[in-house]
Amino acid sequence: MQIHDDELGPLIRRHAVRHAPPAGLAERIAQSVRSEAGAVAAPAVAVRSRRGVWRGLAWFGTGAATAWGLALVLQATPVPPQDALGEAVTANHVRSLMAAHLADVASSDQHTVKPWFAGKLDFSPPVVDLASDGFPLAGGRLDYLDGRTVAALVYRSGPHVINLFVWPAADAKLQPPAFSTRQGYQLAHWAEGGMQAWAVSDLNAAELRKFASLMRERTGP
Amino acid sequence: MTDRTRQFEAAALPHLDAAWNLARWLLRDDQLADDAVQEAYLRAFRFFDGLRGESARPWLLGIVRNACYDWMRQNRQLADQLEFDELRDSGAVPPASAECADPARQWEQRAQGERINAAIDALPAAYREVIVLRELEEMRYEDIARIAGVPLGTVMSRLSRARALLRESLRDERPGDGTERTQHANS
Repeated sequence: MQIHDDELGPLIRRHAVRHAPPAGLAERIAQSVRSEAGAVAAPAVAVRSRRGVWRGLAWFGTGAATAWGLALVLQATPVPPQDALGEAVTANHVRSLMAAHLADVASSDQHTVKPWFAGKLDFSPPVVDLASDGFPLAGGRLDYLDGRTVAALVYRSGPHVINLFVWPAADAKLQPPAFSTRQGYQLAHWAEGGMQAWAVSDLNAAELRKFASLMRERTGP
Repeated sequence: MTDRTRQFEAAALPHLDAAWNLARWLLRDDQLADDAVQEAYLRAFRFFDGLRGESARPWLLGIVRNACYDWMRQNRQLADQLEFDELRDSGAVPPASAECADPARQWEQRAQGERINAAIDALPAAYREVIVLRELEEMRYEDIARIAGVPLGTVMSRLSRARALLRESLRDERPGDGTERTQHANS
């Protein structure tokens, strides 16, 4: 078969295997990284080069400063800085995609997903299906954020996954949606009716805005 | 979990698919790729502080690639990967395993897929990696140059040589196939 220059690329992309990593590899990597992080912290200082010691000191200084700063912030308000929370939300989103643990209850029916949370959480998260608006509900699971168990609702938009984390807010103050970007992911954060919500996805910013405003309309009082 | 581990996971884990694909194509074995990718992620974590301000994807894939080459070097798996010679190794590769002709289009498609995979597999590692990074991961030439640790011009010449080898090995296989394919395309 005669193949022209401009045919070869599409041919490869269509037929060549893009090997997929085995399930559980992400989790094994995360574990070995964490144990490495634990091992480095204590005894390694003695054998490091002088530069290593300085870097270690710098790290220690940074750590101490962070801990001190965090302690101050925590004393002032029980809510961790939005920045750290945004990072934790992004990390949870990434892990949910990598570890093949997207949903504990996989259902597009809000009347299946909402009762599933009963007895697992000390609050009842609002669950709505936005399928008619292009964001079908895919399921829900429990996740851990901000020092507590939270509800994670999974929505889809075409090939994209949206994780919506919901848990009770510290106060009933209304917070209009705030948008940010982190590691290439779009984040939206808002609070109303005593609940706070973080949505994170690889959707584009405009689509996530649409998702956030639909969600607020449907779950608002 | 520390901030550093969390940052690392958020920066590096999204590229696991690309890392795996590259390692699996380079080492041609699931278990070897598994070891190499894990090792590469640990290395990457140790040097994570060096990443500031750079794009994580080429940085990480460069480490994965090096872990694969380290393994090949240690095990002297294939001489051509140890001392890759642009001139010597740019000769013809043996054609990939031939499939017998079948009129069914589905079969035709699958056979074509197998032939293409086998043809890529038969390329020397230095050509295989540029094809995988360019065609499957759709990376920029600059990033491929960083990953492979060679100048941009070398990436371009390897890529065009790799494409020529692929065309050659796919063409040689089934002479007289051309007309049949044209009919399929028109039907």
